[in-house]
Parts: sequence; C-alpha cells; structure tokens
Amino acid sequence: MAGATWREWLTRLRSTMLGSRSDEDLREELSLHVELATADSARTGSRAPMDRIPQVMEVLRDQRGLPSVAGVIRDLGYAWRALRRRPMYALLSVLTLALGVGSTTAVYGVVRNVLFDPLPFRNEDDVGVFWKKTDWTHEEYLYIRGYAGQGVGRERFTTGSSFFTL
Amino acid sequence: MANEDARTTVLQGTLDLMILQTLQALGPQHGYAIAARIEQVSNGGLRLNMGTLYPGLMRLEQRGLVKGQWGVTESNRRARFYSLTAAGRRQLATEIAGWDRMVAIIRALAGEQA
Repeated sequence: MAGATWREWLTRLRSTMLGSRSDEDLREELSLHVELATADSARTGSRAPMDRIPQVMEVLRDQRGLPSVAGVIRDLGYAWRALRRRPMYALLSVLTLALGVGSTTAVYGVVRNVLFDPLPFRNEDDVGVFWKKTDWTHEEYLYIRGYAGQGVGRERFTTGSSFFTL
Repeated sequence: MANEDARTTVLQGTLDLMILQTLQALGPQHGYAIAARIEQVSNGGLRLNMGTLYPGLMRLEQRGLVKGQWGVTESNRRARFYSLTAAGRRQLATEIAGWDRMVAIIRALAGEQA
C-alpha cells in the first residue's frame, strides 16, 4: 500500500500544478447520485437522501490537490493557539530547539576552524608537527630541523609548550 | 447513535475493500450503483453516504487502483464509471487475504471467550 500512497500524493501534486477534474465535473457526478437516490427512495418509500452536495464538494476539493495555502495558514493559527494554551510545553519546545541550534552551531564552528579553514601559512601540506611531553632540548630541535630539511617552510618554536612546527 | 458509530468504525478499514470488491463483481459501475449494490448485499445494513463514497473513489483513483471515465448509463444519462485497474485487482486480493486472517483471529479469540 505504501507505493499506492506515494502515487496518491504524486497525483495530488500534479493536480495542484496542472489542474485536474473541474468543480463542474465533480458536481455533475454528485448530482446524478442525488437524482438516482431520490428516485429510488420515492419508489421504495424510504427516506429521501439529503442533498449534501456543497459539503461533499468541499471534501472532494480537499482530496483533489495538495492542502491549500489557506489550510496551512489555518493550521499555523491553530498551532499558535495550542502553544499559547500550554505555555510550559511551548517553553520546553523553544528551549529544545534553541539547544539543538546552539550546539550544532558550536560544533560547526570548531569543525570549521580545525578542518575546513586553511592553515595561516603557505604549503600547508608540507607542515609537520612534532609532539613531546616535555620541553624540547636545543639538540633535539637541531636534529629535527636537520631531519626535515634545512630551511623548509617557516618555523615556529613555542617555548614553554611542547610542540613546534617546521 | 451507538449503532452508527460502530458502522463508521467498520467502514474506515473496509471501504476500499468494499468498493474494489463491488467493481470486481459487477464490472465498471458509477458511484450510485456501487453504493446501491453494497446496501443491497448488506440487506440495507450499510448505507454509504456521498461524503464517504466519492472521496474514497477519488483516493482510489489517485492511487491508481481504479480508473474513472465518463460514459452513458442504460437510461442514457452521463455518468462517471469506475473500473478496476491491474493494481486494483492485486490490492483487492491482498486486502481480502488480510481480512480473512483478521476474521480468523477474532473468531478464535471469541471462541476462547465463550
């Protein structure tokens, strides 16, 4: 049934965009129904059907296409009044959204600095990072510098902390 | 009133099945003929009103299970005739199988109770 439901909504989308059965077309179908029902009930003496064409037309118009803009606006109004009626629930919803948006922004801020933005010097692919728990001695510094190739890139040596880049 | 409630509850799950089955049994029919047939088969126990029947037909058509086409009745009136599509036939078989299963379950449960 899932495929069929998909198809229903695609058809309704197409009906909204391209038009579909006209009101006249729908009304003619319903008129025949009322006419035949009235004739039948006259023959059998049962209760005549009520002419509910306007109401049924309303339902059919809703079913024909996608929910109208007016319907969406009506739903928004309803949602607003529902939230007003339960302020604590509304507050909780707002806080949940705020927390979600805030944490996403924060994480993205970090990711952008760490991963996306280029490093603030040229040839970033050539940058090497050397880690050590304690301070580097001068001998170690000279050794690594020699290892990486004399004069490659711009060098940064942070004293007091335990890393530098070549 | 309680009677009517029970009636609508049954309808919600079975309207599609009843329409599809009627078209299967009688071939292409217009809306009123479908309703009349269901009323007749149920000995008047089930009267589909227009507000249920025609939105149901439109939904089935949108789902590609039936196809509606304007034609002419025996009494020379223009009417929209609905016929089963291949997908509609398949859906009917599925729904009847599901319904049979449900009936068997309910019957077994009711038997236990008695």
